[in-house]
Amino acid sequence: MNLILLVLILALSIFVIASKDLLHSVIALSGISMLSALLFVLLKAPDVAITEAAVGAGISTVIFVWAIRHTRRREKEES
Amino acid sequence: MSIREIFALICFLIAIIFGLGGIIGLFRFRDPYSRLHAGSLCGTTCALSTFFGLLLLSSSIGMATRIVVIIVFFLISAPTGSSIVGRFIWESNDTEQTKKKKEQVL
Amino acid sequence: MLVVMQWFLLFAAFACIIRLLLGATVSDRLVALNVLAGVSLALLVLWGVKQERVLYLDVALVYDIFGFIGLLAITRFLKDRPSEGEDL
Repeated sequence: MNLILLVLILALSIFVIASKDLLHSVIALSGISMLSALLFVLLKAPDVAITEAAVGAGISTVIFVWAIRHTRRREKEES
Repeated sequence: MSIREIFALICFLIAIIFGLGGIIGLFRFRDPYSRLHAGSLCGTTCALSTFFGLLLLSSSIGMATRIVVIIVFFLISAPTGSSIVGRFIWESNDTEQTKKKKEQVL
Repeated sequence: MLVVMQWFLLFAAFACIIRLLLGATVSDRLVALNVLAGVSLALLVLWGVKQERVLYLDVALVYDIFGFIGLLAITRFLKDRPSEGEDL
């Protein structure tokens, strides 16, 4: 059971690195934090899951999107 | 199988049916709007009927009240989240295809 | 009965993630994220009821509220910059 969640987190994180558009990686990051909160609940650590859910879905996504808003959204192609 | 478990089973069956419908809807449609419509609608219904089934199965009173609070918050956040995503899709893509659609609507 | 439901919800979450990985445009990804949040919420509550631990339900409540706030932030920040790759 844990293995499935770990494989999903791995797939999402590979996608975060591979994607060109920064915004897609931020959305995948939000998915990763959700899955890790799920995993913490599975490992019987509810307090860690609460903080991970609060920080991951709530604050870190907001800060990432805010940072993207000020910089360029698409990675510069090495021309 | 007491009465409560039978009702919970019915709720779970409803959840499974709507969940499958939502997943098929997510993968079948081409247009983001219809994908959003199918996915969020069936996802919300599936989650809601799962909550009702679990409400029937919950053992202690404290658990039941918490599940009711979760149902209330879920009913507030899920549909508004879907409508916000829909509004975001409507505003964000200015492709040729959606321009025609916007003329038709406005 | 709970186990069957748990495996089905896991399958739904897996399908949502496949949709999130495959979806080309930003809007498909947001849709997949929205559905994934609902399904994982159901999973959280299901595990809470299965282990009869009341504390797990608080995780679901917190996650619901902050997921909604996170989604608001994503869409609100992107409202004024719809076009792709526009340089600041």
